[in-house]
Amino acid sequence: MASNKLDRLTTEQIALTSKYLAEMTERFASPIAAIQPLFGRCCLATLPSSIPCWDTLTREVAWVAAGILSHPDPASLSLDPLPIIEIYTMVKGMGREVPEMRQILERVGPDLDALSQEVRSTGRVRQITSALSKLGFPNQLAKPTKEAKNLLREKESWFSAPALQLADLADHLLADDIPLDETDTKILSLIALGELRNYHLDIGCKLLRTVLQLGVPGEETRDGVDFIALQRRRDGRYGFLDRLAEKPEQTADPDTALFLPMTLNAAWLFKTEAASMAMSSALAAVGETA
Amino acid sequence: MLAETISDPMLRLCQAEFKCLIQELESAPSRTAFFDVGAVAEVLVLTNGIPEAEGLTRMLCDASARWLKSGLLEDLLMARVEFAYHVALLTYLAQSAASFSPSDVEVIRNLSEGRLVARSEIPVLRQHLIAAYFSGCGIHTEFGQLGRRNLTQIIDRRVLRARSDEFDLLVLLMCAQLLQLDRSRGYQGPRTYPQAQLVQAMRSGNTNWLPVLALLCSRFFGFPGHLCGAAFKSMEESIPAPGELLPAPPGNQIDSEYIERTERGLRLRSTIALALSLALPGEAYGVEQVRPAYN
Repeated sequence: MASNKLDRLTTEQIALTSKYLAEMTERFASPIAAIQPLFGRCCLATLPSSIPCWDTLTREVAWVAAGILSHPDPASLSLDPLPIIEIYTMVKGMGREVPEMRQILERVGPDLDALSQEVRSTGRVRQITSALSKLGFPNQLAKPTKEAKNLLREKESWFSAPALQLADLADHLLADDIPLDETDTKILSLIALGELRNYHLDIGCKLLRTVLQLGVPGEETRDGVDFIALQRRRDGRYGFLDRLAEKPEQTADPDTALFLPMTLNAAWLFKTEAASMAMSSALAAVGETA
Repeated sequence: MLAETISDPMLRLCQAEFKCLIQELESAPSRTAFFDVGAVAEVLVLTNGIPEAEGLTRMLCDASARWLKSGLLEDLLMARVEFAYHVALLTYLAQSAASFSPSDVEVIRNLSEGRLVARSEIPVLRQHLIAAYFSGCGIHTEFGQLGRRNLTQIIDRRVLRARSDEFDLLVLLMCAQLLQLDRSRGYQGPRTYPQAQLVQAMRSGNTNWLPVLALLCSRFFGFPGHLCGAAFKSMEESIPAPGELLPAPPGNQIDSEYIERTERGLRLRSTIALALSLALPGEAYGVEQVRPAYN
């Protein structure tokens, strides 16, 4: 089977994975813990083969947002704003507005302002700031740190950069929408493949999302997405347990240790790939018309 | 008479032992327990039509179906390449269980079609190489139809497999020899896989593999400038102390019986590759683009 012929997900497969994620939501039974699985379901709902379910998802998003807003001390929740921003963007993209979600995002801006300059210069915070601005919540985007600027400039150092630095690099690239040429795309895709082969899924998937969003995806990028696609299990989850490894933490609760994070990574990656392909098709169509 | 006095009690003992083994694998999967089950399965699969073996075979088929349904066989298939044969055997036996459903093999089918498992290129490459080298000595070796396989695609798909060991490098070394011996056959070298391995070697600090992969990429598989510069920089940083060879690859484990690699040979071959790279970067490789980009 050639790599480019690997079907990502059929309608039935999307439904199965969504069901698994919905079960995870029920299992945690808390609006805050429900954010991650809900984010995954929203990603899946954007795929071309999915059955429209945005009314249900919008209701659940409102429930989660209301849960966060009604918390006596929301700051203590240590919420990651990025999935919330992504969920809001997807729901809005489907022509729906969730006022509770908007309220949460309005609160993020002042929180970011209160951070030190050093923290605001990190890739993660810059990406959040940039994403909020794109949604109409303008905020001052801090400049990247000197180290990050050097890393952005010196591409040879990408090969030896530790995973944390690469994650920061990807965040900066996304924050500034820096286009990646063919060489940059190849380098980051090859690094991503290596990380995936070592089962470092978070950084591998993050690099792939970055090149799909900003680069010129090629064979290496497709191979990376294929790698994730082939981790699919019959029940819709993603990932294979190393049952012979002495990692009791993985087998104690395989869902939280492996299956859920991997399934979320897969859903997010497929959504990004589908958007990248749609964008390429649209650009090609414009080119033909011109 | 013998059946009643010796054979029946022996079979009952085997059933009890086998039941324990099955339970052991289910409660705490281990390499030993899995190979023990595999050893039993190799005999039971050949006992079709022997009524006395039916109890044991049924036990095995039912257990196999449970392991298939629960995903245990899939996990084991992905865990180690040497489990693939027994996983295939147990998957085959699982079909005889009442609880088996064709959808139970869906994941294993995907993994196989995606070339993620159960593909061992070494025997094919080895036969091609033996035939090619003997042929160069005027000895014509008949292995039968080897088939015209698309080695590029086969080897490039290895990039989708998690983990790597010396086996991965050997595949590339053999593939490069084939390319050198007989370019007229139209072999095309893989590209993504060797380059991904090179990047992995750089990132993981595998100073043993790096010069060998650099040599292979420069002469056979493509060595674009962005990789070349970074690889040479890494190699320069890993020069061993005078009088020392490069270290052996980290965690040098080989999960196959096809090859035997000892530390001495691996250190020597890699140091040779490094010395050649550093002495005459461009000329040694005979490829203009191999010159370090930072020079």
